[in-house]
Amino acid sequence: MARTNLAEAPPGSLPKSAGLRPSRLRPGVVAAAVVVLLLAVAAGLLIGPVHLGPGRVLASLADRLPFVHLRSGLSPTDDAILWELRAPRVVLAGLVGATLAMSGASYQGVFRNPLADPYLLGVAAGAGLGATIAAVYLPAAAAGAVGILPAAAFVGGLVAAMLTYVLGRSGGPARSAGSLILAGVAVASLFTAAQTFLQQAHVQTLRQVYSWILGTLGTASWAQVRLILPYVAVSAFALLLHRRLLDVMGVGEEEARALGINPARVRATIVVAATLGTAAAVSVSGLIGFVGIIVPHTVRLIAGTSYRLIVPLSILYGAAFLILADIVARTAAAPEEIPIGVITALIGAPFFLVVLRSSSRSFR
Amino acid sequence: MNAVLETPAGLAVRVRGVSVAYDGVPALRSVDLTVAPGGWVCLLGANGAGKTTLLHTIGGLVSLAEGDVSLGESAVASLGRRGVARLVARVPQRPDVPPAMTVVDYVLLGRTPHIPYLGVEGPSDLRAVAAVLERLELTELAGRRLETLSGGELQRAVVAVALAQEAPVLLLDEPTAALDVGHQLQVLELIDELRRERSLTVVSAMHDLALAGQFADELVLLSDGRVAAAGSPRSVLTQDNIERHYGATVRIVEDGDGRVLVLPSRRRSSPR
Repeated sequence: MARTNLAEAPPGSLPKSAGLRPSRLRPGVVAAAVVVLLLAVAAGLLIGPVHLGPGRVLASLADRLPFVHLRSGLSPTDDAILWELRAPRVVLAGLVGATLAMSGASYQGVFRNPLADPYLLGVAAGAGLGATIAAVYLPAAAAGAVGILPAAAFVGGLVAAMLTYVLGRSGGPARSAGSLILAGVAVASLFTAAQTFLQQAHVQTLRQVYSWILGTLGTASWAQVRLILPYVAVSAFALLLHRRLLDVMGVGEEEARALGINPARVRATIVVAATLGTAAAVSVSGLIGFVGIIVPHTVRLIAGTSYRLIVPLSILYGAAFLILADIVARTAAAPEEIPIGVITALIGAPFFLVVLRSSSRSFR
Repeated sequence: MNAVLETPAGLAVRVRGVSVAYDGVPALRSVDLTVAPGGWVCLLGANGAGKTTLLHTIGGLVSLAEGDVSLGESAVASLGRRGVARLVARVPQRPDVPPAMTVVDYVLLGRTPHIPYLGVEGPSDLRAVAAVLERLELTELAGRRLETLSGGELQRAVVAVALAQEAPVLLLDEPTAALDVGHQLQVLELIDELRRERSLTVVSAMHDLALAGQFADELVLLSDGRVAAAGSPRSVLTQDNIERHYGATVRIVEDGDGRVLVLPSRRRSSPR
């Protein structure tokens, strides 16, 4: 550790030793994350069965800027591939990845549990049941790309999370974090059982529901981007505002109260924001697992353990991670697509075990 | 470095007729307590006597069934969470420290009542943190993770969080329970120095009667939620009081400087 020479520091200021500076986002750290994200976006736009060429893609991107007119040289078909297939898919993957990562980080902070993930409060099971109900009872409406299935999944996810919250509040003293987690387990089991029951009774919907559950960005469209963007934006805004309070929550309920904050209110706000974003993401992408664990823990390893860094960096790296995972999903077995949830699980499950092993030592 | 610690003016603590119950079980029964500005009152009593609950009432952490608590001129009930946190800092019994957090980030948490709810710290917060770290000789450890500190260092970090709050009232709940005798004395001496430097009003709960008698101006013995005895160490630390309220036999010894020492002793010596 750098030694601090107190004698040289001007009166009343912080000595410029690395150790004395509290965790704050440094421009270099943010710039690195932005570069990674831009590289992922570039790869997502360029990689695919049809070769578009970086120069022409760049020209076409610039042409879309206001007051810039460039001839990209892309054929109308190539232009459609870029703007109607790849670009919305990259943007949607970025939004979903950012949301899952920041929600996972926030849940881990607010529940003080390193293995908490965005589906902790039953959002996944609720969304699954919602999607199944739509597929079973409204099969015609559920077939379209922006059909009723995402809406049903969104509603299902929110209903499950609300049920978890109500049960958790009534279950434990002073709405403790533990009773919420237990309620989440119970609600998830109930909703999964209901979904399985429905599926067994209507096996013709198995394929559709199953492919949604494994997660896919294959039907990505600008309409889907527009659909989830408001929820994701509100969620990100609220979670970013609370990033310092997530650190305060780290000292436990009673100490947080002694420091002048209301832990129950902070937790409620963060849970609502993270759940809203997650439900929106899940409704268009299906259940993509492990993003909310892999990304925040990687950020912890490279940037530090303060949520003031983890939340914003998880947004950037989460977006980059899912864009890259989606490239693998659509190219590894081309022309077939591997469900993206399979890719994230292949990376995530071993990662999860590593976190589990190290968490007994370093996280509490 | 000449960073000056903000010196809060001493603040009187007044507890009047306070009763508290947890799920119908009384924990405090019409307790009165007055601590003069800059004074140190130590709460004594067997486990479950109500020491921690009384500290919680001063910190506004429990709701009162009866009575009122005031800090200087203000009633705790009217101050709100942040208002109380600016006046009362506390060193918890078993601090729940986030192990991977760095010392400087941890001490900065003490500034929470001064930082806007959704905002970030300003230069005055950083100055306060730097001054506290320097005062508690933690500057060298500022970048270390809490999990890498020794027991004594960690206890200083916990005290540093409370000091960074710059509150005129300091509550200590068994501040030395986990420390060996050397570190116990160090922490209590440190708190006594800080009390004098910053005219802090200190209320502590302690099990160690000998240490309590040497550091506090006044002792308050709680028993079953009531004040059983209060006053100078000499008047509270009597064989009779301790036998009745702790169920323990002790010998009371006065040293040459007039300090009262309490020695636990067996009822009969074992046969040799």
